[in-house]
Amino acid sequence: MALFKQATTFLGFSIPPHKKLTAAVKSVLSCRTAYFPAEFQKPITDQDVLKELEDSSEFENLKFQPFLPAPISLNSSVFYDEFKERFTRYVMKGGQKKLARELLEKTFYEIKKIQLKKYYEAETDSERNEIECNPLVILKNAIENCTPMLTVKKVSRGGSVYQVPVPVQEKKAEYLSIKWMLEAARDKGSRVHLPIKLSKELIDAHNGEGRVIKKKQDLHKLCEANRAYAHFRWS
Amino acid sequence: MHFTKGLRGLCMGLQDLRLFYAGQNITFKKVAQAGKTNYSISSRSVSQARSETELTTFEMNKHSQKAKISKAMKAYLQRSVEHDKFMETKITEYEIGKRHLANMMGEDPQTFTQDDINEALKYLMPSGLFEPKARPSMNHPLEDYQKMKEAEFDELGRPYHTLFYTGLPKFFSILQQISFKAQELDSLLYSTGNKPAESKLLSELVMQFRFAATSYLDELAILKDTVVVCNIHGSKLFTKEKLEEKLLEKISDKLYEHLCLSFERLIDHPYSATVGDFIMQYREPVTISLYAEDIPELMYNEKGVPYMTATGLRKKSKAEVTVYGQGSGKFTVNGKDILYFDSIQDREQIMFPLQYTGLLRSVDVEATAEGGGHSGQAGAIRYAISSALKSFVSPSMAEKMRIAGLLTRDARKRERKKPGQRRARAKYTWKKR
Repeated sequence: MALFKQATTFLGFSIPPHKKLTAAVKSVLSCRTAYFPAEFQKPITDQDVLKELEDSSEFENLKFQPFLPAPISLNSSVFYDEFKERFTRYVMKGGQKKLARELLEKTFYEIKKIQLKKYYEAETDSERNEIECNPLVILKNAIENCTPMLTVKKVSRGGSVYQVPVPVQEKKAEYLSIKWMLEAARDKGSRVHLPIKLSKELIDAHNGEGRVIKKKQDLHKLCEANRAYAHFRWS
Repeated sequence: MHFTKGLRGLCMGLQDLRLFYAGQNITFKKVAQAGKTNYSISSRSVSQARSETELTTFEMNKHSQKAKISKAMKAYLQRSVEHDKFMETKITEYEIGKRHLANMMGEDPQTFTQDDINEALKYLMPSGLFEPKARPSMNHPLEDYQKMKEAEFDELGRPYHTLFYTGLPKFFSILQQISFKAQELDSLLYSTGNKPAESKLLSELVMQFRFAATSYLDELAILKDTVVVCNIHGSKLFTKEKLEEKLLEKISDKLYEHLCLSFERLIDHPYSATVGDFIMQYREPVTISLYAEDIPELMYNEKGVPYMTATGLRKKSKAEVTVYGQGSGKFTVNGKDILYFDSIQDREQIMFPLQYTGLLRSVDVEATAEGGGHSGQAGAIRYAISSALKSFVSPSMAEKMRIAGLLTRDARKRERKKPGQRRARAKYTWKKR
């Protein structure tokens, strides 16, 4: 990013952040060595996206676009979900992907069991409709509910350290949310297997309660308390 | 014998100078006869007397001291003469070397071509090195050595080019042209929006063009019919090296980046098609492998079943796959079924191309995989199946497979461990005390 800033200041004008650097420029801004040149694009496997592309005029342009090989985790199956894949990698420890995947599958199984039980115990139809039985939806919703909007950054001014509230970037916020969730699930105190604990935490977070949600709210409260120092972000 | 244009141009430049000095009563010392080399070929058209002289030093006559030659010009002339001399020796060396090679190979030196030289070197000095630059080679000196720029200033040292003092006149003149063209296009944009209601929007549009991406322009429907963005697809900007060779100027990375961005902005302009010729001057076509190579046709066995074989490589694994049409979805690897792979991810990988093309239950696959681990083997089989399926599916489907990244060979390899480091990138922990 620093390099990018340097480049833009050198050019004498600023490039809007949504305008991506193109391949030609990327090739000049040297970073860690990569096997494939910068003009290689990420593969597109989604049929809907492809169909949209085919209808538009852009499909013709793709003919000259080289594509990266599909990564080993990618496939076009209906069970494939990008977020699920990412979450699996957060669960993984020491490269044991197979184990991480099994754990997540068990978690989904537990979630399904709990929710179905609730579903069958419910008496009216309106109650039943409110109960979400799809574990993937619960996972996504739970993580979204736990995502913080603000965080605090330590800034030292005049010899004392202040906790300055700053907005969190999208990626970082998701990371924090997943990290807290897994920390709660891996709690050392209780001797419960990860899938069981994680499933409970996820359902709690999905319903807007539980430890992880509280953690997020605590952080927001801290930010609120330190709002007087917010100006240290830029001064 | 051939002679490239660059040096000829240079010689012509020199000739002009010599003519000029001759007119000013300046004489050149005749030092050596140059009729023996090709060097004189380019000079023949000017005049016999001058063409057969080779300039090493020059003096001015005493009674014509009014005509002053600037130091820059003197230095340039000296440099060019040195360069010529250097090139001439190199060329004679090359000719002699060529003769020797021809004699060694027992062929006629007169008809010995560059291809013969390459072949002879390959035979006499076999090299196991992969890097082309590291292999022994013998090319014509004009190809191997950089050409020399023509004089950029007149005899008084006054530069011809306005941008001479930038140090890179040709490069900066391209940048200048880009900005001129952009201004031209801007004025075109203003002039086309004659309607008063639209004029405000148009000026906004110009502002947006300055600060936003082209996708933003698409949203504004008013100009959609009139927008003619230059079509650059299938081409890419010259690489830095190529541009340097073309301009004979050394360009820094930063400046090249500047040029890239400037061209991008010009192309992004809604009327960039009007300066398309200018843009395409500095671009070269790109080729995509799927179009370059033709897809092999299906083979048939004695029962009339269509089949196709392919090899796939990934990491340290190698897989050979035969895909049979009119099948029922059978799959065998090394004599076992898909349970050969423990991990579900690997099984998904193998099914990926079949499921993607919709042939999951209509073809049989027989595969042998060796070397590497399970994920490498699965990847190798995936690549082999994909390249075999190219022949079974329609060209548009093959194109979709390419977009899905199935037809790109994943040639990444394990990075080697470095001495003094824990792994390829990881370092040992180090504490001062």
